[in-house]
Amino acid sequence: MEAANSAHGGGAPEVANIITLLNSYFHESSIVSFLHHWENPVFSVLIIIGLVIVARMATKNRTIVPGKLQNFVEFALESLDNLSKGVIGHHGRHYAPFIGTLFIYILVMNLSGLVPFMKSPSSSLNTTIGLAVIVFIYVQYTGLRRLGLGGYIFHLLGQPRDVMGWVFVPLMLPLHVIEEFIKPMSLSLRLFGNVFGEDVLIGAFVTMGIMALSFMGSPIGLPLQIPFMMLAVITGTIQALVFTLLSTVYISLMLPHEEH
Amino acid sequence: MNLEIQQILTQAIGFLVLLFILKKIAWKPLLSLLDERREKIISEFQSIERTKSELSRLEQEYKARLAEIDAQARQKIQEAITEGQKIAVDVQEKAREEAKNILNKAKDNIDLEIAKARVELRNQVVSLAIGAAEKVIKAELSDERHKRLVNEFIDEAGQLR
Repeated sequence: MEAANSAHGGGAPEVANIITLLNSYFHESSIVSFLHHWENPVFSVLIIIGLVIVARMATKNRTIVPGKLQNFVEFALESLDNLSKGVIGHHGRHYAPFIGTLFIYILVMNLSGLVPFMKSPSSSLNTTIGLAVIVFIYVQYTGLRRLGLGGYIFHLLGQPRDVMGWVFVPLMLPLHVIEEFIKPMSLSLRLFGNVFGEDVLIGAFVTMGIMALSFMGSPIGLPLQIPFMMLAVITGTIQALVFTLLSTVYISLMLPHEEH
Repeated sequence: MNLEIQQILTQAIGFLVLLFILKKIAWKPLLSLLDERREKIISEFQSIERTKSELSRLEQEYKARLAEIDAQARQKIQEAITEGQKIAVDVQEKAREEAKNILNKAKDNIDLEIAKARVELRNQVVSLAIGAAEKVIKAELSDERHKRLVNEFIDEAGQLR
């Protein structure tokens, strides 16, 4: 399956997907080069469509006694709802759809790189920055809505309660503002780095597997990448959880402090 | 790896679209369904508890009622036995009375028969005696003497009694 390995663009070798395959055979076609340029968003859209179809199938004929698919989706949603409630508190239910959708989307994106002819859109910084921007905006919006403008600014000032607090405001304000921007940056870089690194690792071992058998002209290579695919399942899940959990923590930090 | 603002925005919008759709078709209906199910299970359990306590209450009630019925039945049987014994005593008493009456009547009858037999016997004795005397003294007695003798005999016979 990964026999057609390509080190496209001269960058790090990633396992070929359907679009890089098309690109290597129909390089002149403008549609193919457009797809190749928009590779990551195309796979994102495929994943979005897939998730919507699964959700639709699971909830189309929903019953009080669930079927297998409904049960599975319910289990996933309830676990994420509990995660959100566990971190945020009573109001967790309000944020559960955002947090849960984020987790499911990132998880499927991370793991889709292991499906033949697919690619992890999250191995592109563009994708992870896009998600981090959404989280950033959502966190700031939540802060503004829950704390009010005054409360939000007070939060950025470091919530000074006494003279010393106010003395440190000139120090705390820039720190807090920078922190708010560092948060999404660290989120996006962490996710990108892990998924990209894992994909490159798999790609490198696929190449090695092919090279190992190339002396006898074998059409397929040694499956050296399999242990790393197992590893990718674990890291993909963990990274999705880390991204989601940190986003949840950022939201909960923005909420009024009595609430958490 | 080159950053492209268009791709970043596309990915961001892609996520927002996914969030919007999933919220509408999955999160809201399924979470409310989960709550509904949880409440349903809780209320089912509560109603099971209620039914259980109701059942045990009914059981107690029926047991008490059965015991009452049992006691009543026993009492009725006891009454019937007492009544029966009384009737038996009455019947015995009556039978004894009747037997006594019958016996007395029989005795009276016997006495009457005896008296009757005695009267008949006397009459026969009288006519036998008259016949015998007639034969013995036919010749020598006059009519007058004859009458006197007979009357004496009768008187004697009357005194005999």
